[in-house]
Amino acid sequence: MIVRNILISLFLFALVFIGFLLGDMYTIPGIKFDNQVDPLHALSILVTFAIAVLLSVFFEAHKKKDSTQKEIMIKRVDRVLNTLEELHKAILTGKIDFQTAVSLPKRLNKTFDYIWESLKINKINVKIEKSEIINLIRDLKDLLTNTPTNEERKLKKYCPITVNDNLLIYASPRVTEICSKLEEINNKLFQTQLNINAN
Amino acid sequence: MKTKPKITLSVADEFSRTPGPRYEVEGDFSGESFRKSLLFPKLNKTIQDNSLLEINLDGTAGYGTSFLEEAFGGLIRHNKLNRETIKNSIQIISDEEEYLIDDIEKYLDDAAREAI
Repeated sequence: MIVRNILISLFLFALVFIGFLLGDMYTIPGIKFDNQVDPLHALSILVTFAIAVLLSVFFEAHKKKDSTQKEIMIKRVDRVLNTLEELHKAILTGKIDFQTAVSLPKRLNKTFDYIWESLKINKINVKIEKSEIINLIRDLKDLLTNTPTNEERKLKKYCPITVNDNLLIYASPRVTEICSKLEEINNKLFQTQLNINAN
Repeated sequence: MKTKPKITLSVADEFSRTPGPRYEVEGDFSGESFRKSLLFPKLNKTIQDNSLLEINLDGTAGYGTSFLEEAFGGLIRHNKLNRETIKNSIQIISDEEEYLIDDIEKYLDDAAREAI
């Protein structure tokens, strides 16, 4: 990128030089060229030109850096969305490995800490607070792992979750609740991606 | 102000890095088992010695809601401890999942309310 800019600068300098030569060789009717060039004016033109080139190189490099950072963060959020999609598929079967259900909210929490910290460092503003997503993750964790006490089991007509052979088994209404919570989280993450992109 | 002497309890180091379900019959490393084997004995000693029990939740793969509810709520339900006594005797460390501290407060409050 920098090499390309230098080549463009050299090309423009060459054009200016050719312009000077042509000015000496030909006369254009109606336009009169001064044979004497004020060195200060020439210097001023060259400095202005050099600053313009430097600014364009600087801003282009910055623009490129910002867009790469945004792309990385959007991809990171994408990975979370993929994880949630995997969970969604597993939940539809009505059962899930106990350790997966228990460890997933913690992993998601860590990932969101990382994403929001990166957003802060890179001064990217998103309209969604981290706490909004963390609260949804807490709700999801409760839905996934809160098995009832013996006392609650006696009072309730149906049991939303049971643990058997290291598997959490969900009743159909609980599966619906989990899917609905996953959808809420997905929507928030999608909104986060749009916000990152709009910055 | 004189600070209370501290007793520490790390779930990952002293119990398990993979805490399990609510009840012992449901699987290994349950909340019930944690309460019976570690939490209640240590907390009881803390109360008798007028010291402070520092419980570190970090370093595990994660906690199920029922594990923590059974471990802490069970102190009121089964071990008949008083909510205020527990509150004055424990300090919870959870840097990896800060919200667990609020969750545990809620489990204790709910269990205290149900016990009335």
